[in-house]
Amino acid sequence: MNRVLKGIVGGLLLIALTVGVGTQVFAANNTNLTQTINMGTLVTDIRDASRVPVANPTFALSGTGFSFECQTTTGTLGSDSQRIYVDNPGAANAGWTLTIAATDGATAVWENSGATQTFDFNDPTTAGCTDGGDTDSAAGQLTLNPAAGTLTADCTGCATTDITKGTSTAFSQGATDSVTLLNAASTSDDAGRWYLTGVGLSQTIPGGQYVDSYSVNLTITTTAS
Amino acid sequence: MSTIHRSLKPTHIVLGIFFAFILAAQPFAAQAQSGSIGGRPANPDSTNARTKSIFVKTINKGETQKDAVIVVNNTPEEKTVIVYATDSVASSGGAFACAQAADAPVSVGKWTSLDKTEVVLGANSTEEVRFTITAPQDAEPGEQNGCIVLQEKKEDSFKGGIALNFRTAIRVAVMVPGDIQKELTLLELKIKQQQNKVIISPSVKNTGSVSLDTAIKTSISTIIGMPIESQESTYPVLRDQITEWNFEFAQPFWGGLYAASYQASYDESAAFLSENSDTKLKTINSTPALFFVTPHPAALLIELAVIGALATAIVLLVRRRALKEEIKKDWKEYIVKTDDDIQRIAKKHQIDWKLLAKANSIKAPYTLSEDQTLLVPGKKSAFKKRPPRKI
Repeated sequence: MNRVLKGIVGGLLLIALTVGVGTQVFAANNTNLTQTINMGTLVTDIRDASRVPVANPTFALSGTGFSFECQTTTGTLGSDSQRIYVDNPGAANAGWTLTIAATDGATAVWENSGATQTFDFNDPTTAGCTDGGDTDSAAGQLTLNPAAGTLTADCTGCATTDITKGTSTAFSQGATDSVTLLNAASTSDDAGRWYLTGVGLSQTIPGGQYVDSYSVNLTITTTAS
Repeated sequence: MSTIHRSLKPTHIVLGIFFAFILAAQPFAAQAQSGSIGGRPANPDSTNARTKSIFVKTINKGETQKDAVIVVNNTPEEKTVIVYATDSVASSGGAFACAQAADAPVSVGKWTSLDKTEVVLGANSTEEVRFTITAPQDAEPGEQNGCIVLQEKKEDSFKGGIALNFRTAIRVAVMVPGDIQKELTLLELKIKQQQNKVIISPSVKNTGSVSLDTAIKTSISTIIGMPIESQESTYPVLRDQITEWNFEFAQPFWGGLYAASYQASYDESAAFLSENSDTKLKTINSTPALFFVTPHPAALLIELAVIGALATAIVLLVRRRALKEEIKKDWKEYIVKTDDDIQRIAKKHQIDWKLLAKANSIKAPYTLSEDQTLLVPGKKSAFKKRPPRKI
């Protein structure tokens, strides 16, 4: 038993040395300990349920078959395995916004690999079924519905109070080039972490659209306002 | 010692504890180091707390001001961060947003010149990027907004579906002195019931030349003005923009007719995006709007039961009053004879015996006394039973 106790004590000393490598403690009559916590930065990204960032997140709308008629596909932006996170570690003390827009600006389109086929995301003509007077010759319109989503506070002591979700909005070139996902008032928690899931997606696909897999790049921005 | 203890030497126990500690510590280390990239103003003004989060500048036409942004890499890896200036744009609902890098700037984005547009940061490190803002000679007086944007440099690749990029931005609010107007107009109030919530959406328009930090208070009350619930928050309303918000309220349990209203308040004084001790608060109130809320199913059942009970009570009350009126007018006296009982008298006068007992306040066991005087219906009484028709 004495040998066992000696072994345990020795092991604990070994652990203490390992953890304390690089740390030296000097005996002193008056020792003051200080700890500075610096303000972090406002950030947004996609993380899984364990809060691990997801590399290269993508969201697919429901697949659909070829049709000569205009049709609509739906999907969801933000799920439990791909949560849209916003961290505000005291960086934005008078509110912030979370918005989404096409990375390439208002002239962006859905493209297949090689960009030989396209359809639009922001043409409002006949609700996206026909090409209007915008700069491209493609029809199609993408609608986001943040109001259908769920905002969850993910930190001790913080709440979703004074953070409003955006209204269901369709992209429309020159009129609505950015859609609001969240708008945090100055009275919202200055330090908090939240995630948004279940934002409704709806894309109008014009009739006769070529069979292929399409992609569009969108950018989510969080702005201290 | 048992057989199990003999197979474990003390050194095995110690080493086991040691390695268990090391393995258990790894997730904590990973969580402590997870993060992202971002930025913050490098030189906040100690007299204005807003400048810890955003850039607030007052620049005369033709003048230049300098500042810097601290670019932060909170991740455990080296990151290349692109830094650029853009104009601001209004997002849906009037919220503040920043133009994309692909959009050519025409305002503050164009006035801003950065020393660097790309920064390579080691793990958990920061770097200061300096910039200047020059207000052109033909700049319009009032507030103009832009952004300093920070974004990790990544190659785009085809992925299928919606591919997402992320960036962080800091508002750059520039005031060009001149004739400054502060004006806010209330627009419409939309009300919608959605599942178990009532969504109230007020909207306002900023017709002035500067943004206004506006306190919006939205309230629900009964139709006689008794307050039920209110929410109040402060948001920036950008110049020339219509801003709309969605406030969620719990659905009133009982349902029915309610009133919604909102109030907007802002500081009319000359201060620009700063904490000001000489605040002149202006408040504008909307007129209440009535709306109907369907009751919760349980509430509906209770309400129907109450209505049913009230209706029954009213019918009984009306019948009772009618009976009393008729007794006063048409009923006559009858002297009880030796062989009479309540049922025989009732049958003789073609009336229900229970009604006869009730009209004469006779209670169970309905015993009558000889020579007792009762009131019985006259010939034309409405309470007389009609004989069955002979076919």
